Amino acid sequence: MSLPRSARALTEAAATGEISPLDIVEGVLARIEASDGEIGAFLEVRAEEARAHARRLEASKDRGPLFGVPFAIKDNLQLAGWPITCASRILEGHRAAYSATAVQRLVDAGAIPIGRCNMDEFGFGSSTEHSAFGITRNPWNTDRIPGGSSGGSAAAVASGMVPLALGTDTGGSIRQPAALCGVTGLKPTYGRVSRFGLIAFGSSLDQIGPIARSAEDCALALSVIAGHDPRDATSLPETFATSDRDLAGLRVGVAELPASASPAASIQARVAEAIDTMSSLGAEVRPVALPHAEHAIAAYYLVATSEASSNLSRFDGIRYGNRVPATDLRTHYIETRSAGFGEEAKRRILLGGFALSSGYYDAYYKKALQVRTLIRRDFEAAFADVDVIVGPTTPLAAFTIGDSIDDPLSLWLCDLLTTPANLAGIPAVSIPCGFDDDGMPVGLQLQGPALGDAKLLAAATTFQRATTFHDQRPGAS
Amino acid sequence: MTDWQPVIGLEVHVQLSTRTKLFCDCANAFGTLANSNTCPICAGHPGVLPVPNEQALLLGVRAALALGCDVQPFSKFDRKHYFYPDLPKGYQISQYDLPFALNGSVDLGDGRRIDLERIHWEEDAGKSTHEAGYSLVDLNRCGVPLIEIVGKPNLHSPADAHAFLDSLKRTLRYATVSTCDMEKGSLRCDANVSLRRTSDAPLGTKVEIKNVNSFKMVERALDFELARQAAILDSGATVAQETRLWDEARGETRSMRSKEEAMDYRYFPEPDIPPIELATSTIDAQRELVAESWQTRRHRYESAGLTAYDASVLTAEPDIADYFEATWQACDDAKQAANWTQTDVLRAAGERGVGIAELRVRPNTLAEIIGLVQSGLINFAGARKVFNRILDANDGPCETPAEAVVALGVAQISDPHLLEPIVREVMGACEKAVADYRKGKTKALDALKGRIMGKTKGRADPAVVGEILTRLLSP
Amino acid sequence: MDKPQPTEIKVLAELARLRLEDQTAARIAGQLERILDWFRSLDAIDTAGVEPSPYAVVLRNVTRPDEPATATDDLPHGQDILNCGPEQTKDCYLVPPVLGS
Repeated sequence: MSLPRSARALTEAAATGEISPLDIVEGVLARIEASDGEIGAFLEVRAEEARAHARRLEASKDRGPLFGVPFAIKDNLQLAGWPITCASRILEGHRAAYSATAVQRLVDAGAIPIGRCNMDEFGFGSSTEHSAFGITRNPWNTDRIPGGSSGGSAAAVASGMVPLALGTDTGGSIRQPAALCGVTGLKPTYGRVSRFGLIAFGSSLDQIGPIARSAEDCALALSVIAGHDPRDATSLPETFATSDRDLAGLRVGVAELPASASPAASIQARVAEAIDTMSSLGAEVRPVALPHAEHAIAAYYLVATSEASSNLSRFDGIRYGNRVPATDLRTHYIETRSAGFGEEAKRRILLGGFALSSGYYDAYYKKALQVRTLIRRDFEAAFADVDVIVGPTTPLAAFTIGDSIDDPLSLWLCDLLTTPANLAGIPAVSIPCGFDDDGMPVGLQLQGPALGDAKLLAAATTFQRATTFHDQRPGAS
Repeated sequence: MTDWQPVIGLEVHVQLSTRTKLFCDCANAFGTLANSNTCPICAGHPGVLPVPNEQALLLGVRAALALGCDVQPFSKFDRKHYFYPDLPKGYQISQYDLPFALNGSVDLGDGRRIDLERIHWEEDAGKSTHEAGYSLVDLNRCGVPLIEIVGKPNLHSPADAHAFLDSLKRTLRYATVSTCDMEKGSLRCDANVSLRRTSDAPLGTKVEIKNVNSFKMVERALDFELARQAAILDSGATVAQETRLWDEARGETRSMRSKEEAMDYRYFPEPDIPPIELATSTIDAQRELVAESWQTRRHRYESAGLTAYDASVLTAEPDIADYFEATWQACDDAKQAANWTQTDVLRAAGERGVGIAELRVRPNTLAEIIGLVQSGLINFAGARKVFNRILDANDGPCETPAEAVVALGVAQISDPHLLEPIVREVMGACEKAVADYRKGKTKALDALKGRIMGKTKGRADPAVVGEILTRLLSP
Repeated sequence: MDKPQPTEIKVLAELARLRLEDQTAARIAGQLERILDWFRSLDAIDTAGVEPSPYAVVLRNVTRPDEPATATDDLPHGQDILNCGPEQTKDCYLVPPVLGS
């Protein structure tokens, strides 16, 4: 049976009874069976539970807004009773004691959780090569990385295994893999989606968001997961409502890219074409200045590693997770944590600990927070003149697996274009806008002012109605 | 042996009397079963977030106002990092550079004030129990709201340290922010101790003492530590900067960790909790709730004619002071209200193991009993019987003191015509006592009075009996 | 001296309860040195008088009422939490002693 590809079409078909939730689940499981051996998007597929879930849905009268939509979950988002690892040995064997608010809201809306997606350990990476449980491959070319850290989620959607996946974005971890896999990925405004139940990486940067085939599906998912949560003190009180505003008269800003970004020529060309398309759809394109953008990446890595070093302190093999037997307490901590964390995690813990240590705090951590203020002000000034800012999501398309794993700094620099939105807490979406010379997808990033998620998604939807990049599928599936 | 001046600074942790923990809705109360009062949040499970308890913040503000602190309009939470099994997240949520209260002082009640540095909010840790070959961790206490009160090192004797803690406890109990029960751990104290040669000499090397669990132990631990340091300095050696644990069983302090192993807590602002801005109206509302201080009450009681000792006993606890004051107001006799409160009322509460506020004899009732004595209807012995009868009455409609007098038959006999025959009878039976009295042994009068009270089952009016006896015995 | 030396890396590792062999410590120290050099590019920005932004939201005074968990609360409590631990005894989490035998 051929299933509709989009979440919206699927839930409409399920709601009218044209297709049953169990048929949908069987179709999805069959696709995963066919594709995931090669791609490795999933750490675990919970097939029997998904079937049981579908049967329960069929029996119930409730028809939520995502009725019958199967979704994949990045393995840093908890669902009570499911294993959860963050792709780290230190949590191997742990089962979540409670559910993340965002996951629970999807389930309550009638969506069906299918399985857990691979990622860079704790989100530390942009290639999904830093998983303790194996790599994930890009469906467009299985020699290439899918991006990261939500690489499993993006690859699962790109290969057509699921119509929707949840990812998390601390410095680009939804948008960058979405760009590299040719799908649509949204990082909402910080505080839009409750972080309760998301295993923290950088607490002031993390945000949960959807990865789907279209901006319309992302908006549908966001309308379910957004909204105040009393269990997250940083959750915003404002409600989210989708918008159908088109591009006519929309002020689209284009910022000069930092010299250090130097995107590949074919990426620059695709982005320029996309901007022309937006212009032809009625957008007013104008330049904007983001003078501190090039410093975002250093500021980001200082803030992110500082917060990560703190957030990873709780993994001690006492209350959950793995432990290494030891005869004294200090050895217990050291052996458990040394065996449990991968090298990138250790690097970041040390770096963050350094930035926070007495004597260095002002020069590193505090300085980064001051630069963060300047970056936020840049955006505030820019959004006084424009509604959205567009540009490439990444300077490079997906590279070959293994190419950069030994050079942390050069890999970090690839996050140059995505990290400013996290520092400023603003929404940003990556949508497909064509292919580079090697046939790999290119992502267009749209950034909006805080709480401008709906306008951003409406602009992306208008673009997608006029283009077919988001409908292209890799031959692999 | 040289004379050294002790320099002592106290850091006091006080558990706030909220219904729930600081960052989750687990109860701020626990029975005996370990790890029964936890949730993913206080147990530091992955992915949880802290949401501050409004009442905990407000109780902290009230405590700060009672201590005369400057409550800060802007403050924030920070993370303090160290590894210990009873600290689930690997960091404690505390306050670092922007505590919610600065300055203030503890009034020792004798004209001296000990300045405070600051007060901040933080979460409590769990408890570790060390057994042979392993340790056990109970997280029930994790996340209980605390304030840490940091005193300046302006104390110069263990007795003053005790007075500081005693005053602090009274003040916080009056402000109803904490039970401040050191034995139960709701008030805990660490002490920084050093010695110097003269009061204007620079501070000596400071030793921190932890694990002191009662007011009595504070003085003992400080006495021990001061003697230890003096012995080191007298021998010409130097005191090592370190943290020492008070070992109650052995009555000594012993080294826990040296400065070389000192921590770098890597404080940074807690990103999960937006900052706290305290509006003037919020602070003023708490100020309204700060009761009259124990020091002011004590002065007021002394002005009403009570002794300094009585005033001190009556202000030890706000419940006691409230009970006394309500009785005093209702009977208009401070001395009688004070006598009853300090003796029968406190004893009754102690024997029953209940708070004085829970006694069946309410201040109004006690005032009526005192009134019956004042009007001569009953004597003190009868009053005590009435008090005990109402105290132990079963549930149901309460007897009034007047009804109790009738039921007990303790109405005083004051009519001299009724009493004189009894007095003559007793005098006849006790010739020796009569003779002794007439020889000048005035004490013999008490024996006679006792016999007369016995004959009347305690109902005779002692004053009238005294008059009749004196008249009949006079030559 | 602002760059971490191998010995200092060991102090950081100790604070983070991580074990680094000498060789790893040297390699990571080299990487961190490069990264810190790169971080110092921020020195070129004038941030005098600029307030740091530790938070991504402008919220203030977000609190919860002092009300105990209700029966409808969906979070697990007590025993269910304890059971997540790798080793328990006497209703407690079991950990190795502070000092070894």
